[in-house]
Amino acid sequence: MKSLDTNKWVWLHYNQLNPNHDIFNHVADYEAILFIWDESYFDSQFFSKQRLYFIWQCLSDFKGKNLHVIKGETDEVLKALYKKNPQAQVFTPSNPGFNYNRWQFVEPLKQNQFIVFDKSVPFGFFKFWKEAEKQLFGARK
Amino acid sequence: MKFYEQTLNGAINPVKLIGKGSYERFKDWSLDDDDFTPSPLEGGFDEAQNRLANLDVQHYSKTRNYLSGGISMLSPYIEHGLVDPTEILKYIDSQQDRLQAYDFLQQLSWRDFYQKKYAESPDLIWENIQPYKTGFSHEAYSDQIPDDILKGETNVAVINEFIADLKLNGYLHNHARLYLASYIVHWRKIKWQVGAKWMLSYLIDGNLASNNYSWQWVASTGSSKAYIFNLDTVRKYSREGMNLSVEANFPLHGSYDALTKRLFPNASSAAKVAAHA
Repeated sequence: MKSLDTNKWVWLHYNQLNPNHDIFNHVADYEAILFIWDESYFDSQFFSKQRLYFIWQCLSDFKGKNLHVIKGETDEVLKALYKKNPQAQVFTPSNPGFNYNRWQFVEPLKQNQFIVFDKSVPFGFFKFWKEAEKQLFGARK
Repeated sequence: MKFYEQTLNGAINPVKLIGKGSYERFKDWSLDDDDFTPSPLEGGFDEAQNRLANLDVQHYSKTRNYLSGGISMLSPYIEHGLVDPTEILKYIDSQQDRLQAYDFLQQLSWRDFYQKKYAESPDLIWENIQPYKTGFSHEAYSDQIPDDILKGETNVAVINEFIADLKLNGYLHNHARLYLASYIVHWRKIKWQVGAKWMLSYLIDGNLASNNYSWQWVASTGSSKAYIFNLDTVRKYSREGMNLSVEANFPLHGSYDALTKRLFPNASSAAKVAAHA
């Protein structure tokens, strides 16, 4: 599959389905977009058929953007792409809770934070909200 | 757009999809012959932008607690990355003074709070943060959801309506989620983890962090008190057409004190309940 020999991928997860995602500004010279339709992962997250269809509808927005949708297990698909082209680079918006260390050729890019909170997250919301309130409203509140 | 599937030997082969419309092509892609009803909330960037353009934060502030209130319905679009909280903030700033969006931004911050908690300890997302404060141990709660809940045929009419909504739309008003979670954990004595998985299996905006921490908040393993509600509260915030009679909702009928005694007979004090008045 010649078209899978891409050198520079942007890999989007199910929760990054924006055709105007900020990552396209950071990786402006990307060649293709990758979406891995990982049914095992979707099952592990308890996605319904309605939700899968919602995702499917979102993918339709990528017409004309050289999107490749590959059905398979994430690890296996990434390894197969790497095997096809060891020069390949894969850039992806970083997802919390996702372990990218297994793939040296994948570069997760940090995402904007809504509220910047560098301390340990408190047990209850309202301590967090005090900081959020300051950032959102400053002295106005 | 190109479609492929990986075979067992690791090869990635192209797939030609059959079907004219999006629904037929999806069914062909998912190799599933069973029909289903898509959620009325459609996926896509334009849908997300329309929702954002219709965001009325003042109406939201005044009516969000009501089941027919002016909620944004943005959550499926936020969850799938079609619209970003920082973009929403920019939109709000372009429309009015940010302070008018205080309640809405607090709600967005709840989501951010839960995401950050999850990012900090992803391995603990299914663990009780603390013990239940209900007078019952973790083991006292069931590992299974009974059939009447699965089928939406409980002896509580409003609960059945919420279950039907969830199944039909893949979406529920936030308060209906809390009522349903509270009913499952406190009235039916089912582990929050079991209920959380069940709810996730229907929500199109299901977010593991928001969902699970909210269930823990209701259950009292993630808060200082158990969350309960009563029929009067549902009536206060109800929408038209709901069956709100005492006869059809008897398990929810009663004052908070009475329900607390009924649901938590072993709890050390009645103060261990967060009521939604």
